[in-house]
Amino acid sequence: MALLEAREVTVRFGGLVAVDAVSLAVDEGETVGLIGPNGAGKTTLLGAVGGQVIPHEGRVRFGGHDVTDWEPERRAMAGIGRTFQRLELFRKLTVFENLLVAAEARFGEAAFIVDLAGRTRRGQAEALAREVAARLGIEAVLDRLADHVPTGLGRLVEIGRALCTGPRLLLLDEPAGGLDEAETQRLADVLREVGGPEGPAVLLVEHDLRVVMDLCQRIAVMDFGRLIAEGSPAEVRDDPAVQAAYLGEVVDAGTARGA
Amino acid sequence: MDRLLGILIVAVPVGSVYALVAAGLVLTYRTSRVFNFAHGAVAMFSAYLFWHARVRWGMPTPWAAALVVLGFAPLLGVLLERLVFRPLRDAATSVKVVVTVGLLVALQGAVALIWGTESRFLAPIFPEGSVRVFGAVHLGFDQLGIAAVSLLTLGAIGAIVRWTPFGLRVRAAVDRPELAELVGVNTGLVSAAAWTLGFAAAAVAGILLSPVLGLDTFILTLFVIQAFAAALFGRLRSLPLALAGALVVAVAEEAASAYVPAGCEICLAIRPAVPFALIFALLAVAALLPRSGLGRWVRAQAAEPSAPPPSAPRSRGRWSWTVGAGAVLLLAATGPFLDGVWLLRVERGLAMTGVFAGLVVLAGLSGQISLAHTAFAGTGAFVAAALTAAGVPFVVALVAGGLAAVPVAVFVALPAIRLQGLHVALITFGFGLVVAKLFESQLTGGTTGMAVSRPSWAASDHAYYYVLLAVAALVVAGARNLHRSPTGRVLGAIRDSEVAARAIGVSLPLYRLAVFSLSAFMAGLAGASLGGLQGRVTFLDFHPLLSLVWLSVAVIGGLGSPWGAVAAAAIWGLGGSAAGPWSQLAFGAGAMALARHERGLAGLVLSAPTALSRLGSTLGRAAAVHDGEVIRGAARGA
Repeated sequence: MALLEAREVTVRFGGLVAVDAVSLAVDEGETVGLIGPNGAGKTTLLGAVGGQVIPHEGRVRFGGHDVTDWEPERRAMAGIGRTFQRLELFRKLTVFENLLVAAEARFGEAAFIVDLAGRTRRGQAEALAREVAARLGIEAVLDRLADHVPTGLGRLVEIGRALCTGPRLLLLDEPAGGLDEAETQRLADVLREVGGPEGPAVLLVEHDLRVVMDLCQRIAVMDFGRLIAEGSPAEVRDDPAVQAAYLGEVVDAGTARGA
Repeated sequence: MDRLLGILIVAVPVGSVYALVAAGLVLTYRTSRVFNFAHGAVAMFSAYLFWHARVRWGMPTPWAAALVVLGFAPLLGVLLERLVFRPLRDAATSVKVVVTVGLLVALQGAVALIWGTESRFLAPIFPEGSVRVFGAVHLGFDQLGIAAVSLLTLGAIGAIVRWTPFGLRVRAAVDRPELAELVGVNTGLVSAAAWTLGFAAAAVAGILLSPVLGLDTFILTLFVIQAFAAALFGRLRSLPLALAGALVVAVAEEAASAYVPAGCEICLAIRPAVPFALIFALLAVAALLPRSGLGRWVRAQAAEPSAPPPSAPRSRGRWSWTVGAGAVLLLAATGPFLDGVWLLRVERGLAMTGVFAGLVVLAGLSGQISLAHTAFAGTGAFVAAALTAAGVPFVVALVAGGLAAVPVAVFVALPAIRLQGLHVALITFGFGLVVAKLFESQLTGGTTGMAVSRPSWAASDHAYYYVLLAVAALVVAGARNLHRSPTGRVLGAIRDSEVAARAIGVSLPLYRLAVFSLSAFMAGLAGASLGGLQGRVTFLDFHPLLSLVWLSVAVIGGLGSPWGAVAAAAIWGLGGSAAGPWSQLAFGAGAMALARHERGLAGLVLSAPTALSRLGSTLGRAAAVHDGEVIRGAARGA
């Protein structure tokens, strides 16, 4: 059985159907791309999986449980980690603390009364946070306030924070948004490493098609809230419906560059 | 049946005035996203001005009313919109609350300063007499007049929003401010117009009610609670639903008054509890039906990202311990040399440190607001009083007083913690009013209050000084430890981004409940310590409006670090008669000015050495550059 299974998920905002009976599955260890034009409903679908959005119809199953009615924090504890399209860093904590707080949440290291009395012991959370920082190559900026880091770095910090929760499924919402060529390249390298055989499954929403084509084993395409295609990168690229709806010239350009 | 109908009919004038205040709130909140806590206070100020124009200047009633409604209130609205509310648009909710609470406190101080605090009575504005509605139910002309004028004003506001080009822009600016701006709607102008209209409506409400209720700085100010309950019925959006909500609030209040058994003193708390109970019920419905319109709205409110104010650099851990220990030693050494009024001032500051430390933890660290801290401190004081009277050792009574405040806090926090700062503020304030009513009853000794006996080993003022110092030092140390602990990090995470905090698995209700309880515990300790200092506590020591003043003082002290609590305690202790009009004005204005400078006075003092050294190095560099220029100039010359 798939790790994540969204079945016939529908989300409405007022009269607008943002996600229209979409079914999508992600297997253990798989990296799946979710693409589509602006306003296609990708972020909303991600929210329905992460728990930030309550679907009006349909169910979401994760790791064998029906999580449709679970609060986002319970889903996080069950292994769904995510990043946000608009950066949601803990702005007044340092970069390191952003990672640490996630690791501490995972290991349950915050203890109210003990903390009140003042303690200094260092737990396994700190080791994990340092390890993740090293994997992402952000050791140099750990002491900087998250408020003061540029967008590209901020995206890495969000990924690191999600990794510190020990996710089985990582939801990435446009991680390359606002990044330049070099930063995107670095991000792609990081993601390739993260999504490796040992790593979590990844559901990747991204506009930069080169990144998606490059990283994903499978791609789902949304348009106007509906799922219009699904398959391998090559299949999706050649799908006439996809080309008509949205891709067309962009993919041609990508192919041309690849050739 | 007649009685019920009577209640319904009597409730209409009251409800229509609530609706008037609620309409102003909805309108201004919709266009500027600032919920004006001081809306009732604006009505109150307008009523005083109306009295002044009528009595002191001898203006005819219609002219005096026109001066206030069409002149003063709109002017104040435009002015405050431009200077205070518009810059707040994108501020964190907690900042908005603090600023508008500051405005409330300042307006109260201004009224007390100009017109004094004694209640005044106004000649009626409507002819005397009454008509029989049916059976034994009579309505006075004043009640009919109030209902008629309010409903007409409401109708006018509704018509403006519904049918005029301005109304169209209002609705556009509310739904999509960015889009509205793109298509050329001047959202600033729309917001200014909304504040004008909202303040005028508040002025009408104040003028209508002042002859009935008497002029008083308190009652009208508190109308914001009823109006909020009414506005919540319409999700702070719909005017017709807010009107319906206002009638529900008024009917429930009249029923609570009518059916309360005579001679039941504690039941007097039922009427003020009505708006609180309705808010509570609405939120319970929202929690039980998360997929309903109301439930979704509440969730959306809670998920609204609250941008925190600019950050404070972290001071080094060891350094803060050194300074803390030094401060405690200094205070301990000064103790014997303090006397008379100075001893009392320092002791009052020390006793209140718990309240301010609690507010720093709650508001600064976790980004929540409580306006019920008088209820928590009062609970601590009265419980400690009862226990010492029963012969329990003082220290046990002190801790028990602090602990007793925790369940009180949990009760109010349970509905509050799932919501955004604004709603938390209003709910806690409403709750504080209810508890304050209970404090007035014989349960806590009525006007004579209750005696708190000091420990036998610290009976003198000089000896008790060290008890206060020890409690204050422990409380500040606890707050400081929390700031730097894993728990402090989690609270900071929640404050900075709720949605991201939940996405890493943090349960907000649990942490919020814990921090609310801790804050109440600290306030309870403070209340009990204050009891020991004064030897006696009465309900006046925990007047509900003091919650607002305390928050203002905490903001001025600085919410960014535990040192802010120390600064706030110093301000409170040395500020002398803290409830006086001048200090109220100063505290209110200070909170409005400092709300966005989280570090407050403590931050200013702490950063002084850094700022000086930076200045020094800048000067040094400038001098070096100057020398360089001279040298280069000399070289060129050569």
